[in-house]
Amino acid sequence: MSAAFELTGVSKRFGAAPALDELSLSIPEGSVVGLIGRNGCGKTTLLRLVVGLYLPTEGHCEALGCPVGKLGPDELSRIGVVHQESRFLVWMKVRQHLRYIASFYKDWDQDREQRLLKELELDQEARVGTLSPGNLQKLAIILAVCHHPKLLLLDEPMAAMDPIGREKLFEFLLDLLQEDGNTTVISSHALRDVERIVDRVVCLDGGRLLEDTSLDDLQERFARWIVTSKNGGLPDHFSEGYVLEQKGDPFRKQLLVADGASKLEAFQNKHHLEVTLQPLNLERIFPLLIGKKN
Amino acid sequence: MALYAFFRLLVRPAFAFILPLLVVFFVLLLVLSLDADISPVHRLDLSMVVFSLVLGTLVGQTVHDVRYRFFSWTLPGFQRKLSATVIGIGLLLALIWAGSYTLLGGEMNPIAGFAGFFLIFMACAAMQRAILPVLIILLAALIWSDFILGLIRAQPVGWTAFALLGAAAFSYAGFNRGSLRKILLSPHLFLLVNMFNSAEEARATEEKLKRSSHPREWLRSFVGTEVRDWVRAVEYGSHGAMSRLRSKISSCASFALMGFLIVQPAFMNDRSFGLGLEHAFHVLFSPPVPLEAPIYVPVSLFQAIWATAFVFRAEGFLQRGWVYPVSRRQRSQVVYRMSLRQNLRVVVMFSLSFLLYGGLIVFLRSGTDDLDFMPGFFRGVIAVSILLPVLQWIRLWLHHASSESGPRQWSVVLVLLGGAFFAGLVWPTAHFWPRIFAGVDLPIQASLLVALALASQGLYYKVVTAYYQGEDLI
Repeated sequence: MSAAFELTGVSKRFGAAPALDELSLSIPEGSVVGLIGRNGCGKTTLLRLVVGLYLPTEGHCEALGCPVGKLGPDELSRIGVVHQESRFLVWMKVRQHLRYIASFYKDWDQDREQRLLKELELDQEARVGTLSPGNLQKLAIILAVCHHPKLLLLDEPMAAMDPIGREKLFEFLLDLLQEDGNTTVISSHALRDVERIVDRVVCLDGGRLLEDTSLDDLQERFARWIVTSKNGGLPDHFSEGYVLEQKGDPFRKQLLVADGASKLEAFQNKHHLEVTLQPLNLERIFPLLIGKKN
Repeated sequence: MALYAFFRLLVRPAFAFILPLLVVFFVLLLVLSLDADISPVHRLDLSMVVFSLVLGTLVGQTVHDVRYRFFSWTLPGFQRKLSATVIGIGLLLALIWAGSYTLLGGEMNPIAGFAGFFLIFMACAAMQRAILPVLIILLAALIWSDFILGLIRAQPVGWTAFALLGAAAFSYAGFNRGSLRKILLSPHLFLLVNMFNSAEEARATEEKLKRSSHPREWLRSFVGTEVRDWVRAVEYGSHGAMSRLRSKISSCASFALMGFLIVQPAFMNDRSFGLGLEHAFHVLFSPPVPLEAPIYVPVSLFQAIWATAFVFRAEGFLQRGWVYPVSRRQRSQVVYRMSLRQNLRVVVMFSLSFLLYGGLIVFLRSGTDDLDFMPGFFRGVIAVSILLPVLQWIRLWLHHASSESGPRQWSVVLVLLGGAFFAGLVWPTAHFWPRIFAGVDLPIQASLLVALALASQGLYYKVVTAYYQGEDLI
C-alpha cells in the first residue's frame, strides 16, 4: 500500500527552537490516524508541513507522492484541511464564502455541502465575522470535505463545538470515511472522541515520534489487570518492570501494565493470584505512553 | 500606569524597528541640512511638527493595543492613568522643545507648547484607528507647516490657550470611559476579541463589518487554471467583486486630495506655493545642486508618498495559511502579476497627476502653459518604474516574514517612512540622470532607462519566485 504522506528525517526549527526533530513517519493510504501528543509537541507543525505551508528545515517530506514544496493543483485539490485557527474572509456571508471556495475545485459536491449545512445547523446567510468559534469550525469542516479530498487533515476540529455538534460531526465523519475511503489524520486532545474513528495512533513528544502503531496494538500492549489473591493477601508492591501503576487494598488491586500479555501466566504463578483483564481507552493509555517514555 | 510601564510597552519588535529608524531619520535631517540656507529655529519648527505627530501616532497605537482588551477594563484607574501618561508625555515633549528653542533661538518660543498638543491630538486620532484622517493630517501639517506656524507666531498667547483647551478636549474624548464601554460591549467585537489574539485585528474586523457596502456575488463556478483567473479570485477575496470600482474611487479620491494640497496654495499666493513642501524637501534631502525644475519636486514627493501608500495598502496575496489548490510557483506568479498591475496603475496615476497638476501650477504661476517640467516628469515616471519593485519586495517581506499584527498595526508609520524613503530615492535618481547621461543621445538614454526598468521588474520576478519556492506560507 502506498503512503498518503511520508516524512524522512524531517526537522523543522523556528529560529533556534525545534518544533520537529528528525521525524520519520509513513502514513498508508486509507488509514484513519489519531495524531496525539501534549501541547507544543509538533502536531500542528507536522500537519502544516504535510500541506506545504511549512517547508522542512532538514529532511524530506512527501504528500500524495509529491515533495511538499512542489505540491501542485492536482495534489492540492485532493487535500482537505481544517486548521486549528480559522482565518476566513469575515466580510462574506457563509453562502458567499462557500461559493468562493467551491470555485477553486472542479469536483465540489453541492449536495454534500447542503446536507452538512443542514445537519450542522449553520446559517448560510450569517456573516462569517459574526460566527461563534464553534460555528466557524463547522464552516471549516464543510469547506474541507466538499471536494472529496483523498487526504483529510483535521487539526483540533472540534475544540470549540458543543457536545451535540460534536456528535453530529462524528456521525458525519464516519459516513465520510465509508463514502470516500480517504486517509484522515485527526489531531485532537479529545481522545475519547478520536478513539471512535481512528485505526492508527501517532504520538509525538517534544517534536519526536514516540509511538506509531495501530489502536488495536496499543490496546493489547496496555491493559488494566484486576488482581485478587487466591490464598490471602497480596504483596504490598509488585516490582515487575511492566507494571506501571498500582493501587488498591491487600485483597484486590488494579495494575496498569505495559507489554505484559506474554508475562501474564508467569505473573499469576509467581504470586498465586487471579487476574481479570480490562482494556484501556486511549485517554488512559496516553499518559502511560508519555510516562513510560519519561 | 507608571511612565516606565508605558515605555515598557513601547519596547516591542515593531518599535524596535521603527524607533531607531525615526532617530536615524532626524539625525540625517539635521546633518543633511547643515549647509542649507535654513535658520535653526525654522528647522526646529518643522522637526517639531513632524516628530510630535509621528510620536503621537506611535503612542496612540500603543494605547489602542492595550485598552481594547477585556482585562484592562477591570484594572482599577487604568484609563485615568493611561490618559495621565499620554498627557505627561505631551508635556515632556513640550518642555524638551521649549529647551531646544531657547538653546537655538536664545528665547522661549510659545510654539513649543504645540509639540504637546500635536502629540496628544495625534495619539487620540490613532487610538480611534482613523488611519486615513491621520495620514491626511500628517501630510497637511507638513505642507501647511509654515502657514500654521506663522499664524501661531502672530497670536502666541491665544493659540497656546487654544492648544491647551484642544488637548484637554481631545484627551477627554479619547479616554472617555463611556465611549470605550460602547466599543467593548459591541457584540461583534466580543466574539471577535475571543477569536483573535490581537484586539487590533478584532477591531479592524469590526470596522469591516460595519461597512455598509456589500460585495456582489462571486459568480464563477470554477476559478480556472490561468494566472489571470487566480488574480481575479485574489481581488475578490480581498475586497469583493466591487474591489475594482472601490479601488478606482479610492484612487480618484487620493488624486483629488493631492490636487487640492498642491494647487490650492498656488491660488492663495504665488509666494506661498508649495512652500512648506519645498522647504521640507530641502531640509530632508538638501540637494547639492540647484533644482533643475522646481515645480516637479513637490509633485514628485506627493506622488512618491501616494505610490507608497497605494502599494502598502493594496492587497496582493492569496490568504496566508490557506491550502489553495495552487502550487508555490503559481502563487509567485499571482503575486507578481498583481504587483505588475499595481505598477501600471501607479504609473498611470503618476503620469496623469503630474501632467494635470504640474500643468495647472505652471499656468497659475506664470500665466503661460510652459512645459519645461516635462523632462523632469519623464525621468520621475521611469524612476518610479525602476524603484517600485523595491517597495513591493519590502511589502512581500513584511507580509510573510513578520507577525500578522505587526506591520499592519503600524501601517501609517510604515507608509510615511516608506514614502519618505521612496521619495528620497525617486527624486535624486531622476535628478542625477542628466549628469550620468551627459552627452548621450536621447533615444539611447530612453532605451537604457527602459532596459533598466525591465531589468528591475525581472529581478523582482526572480525574487518573488525564489521566495515562494523556499519560504513558509504562514
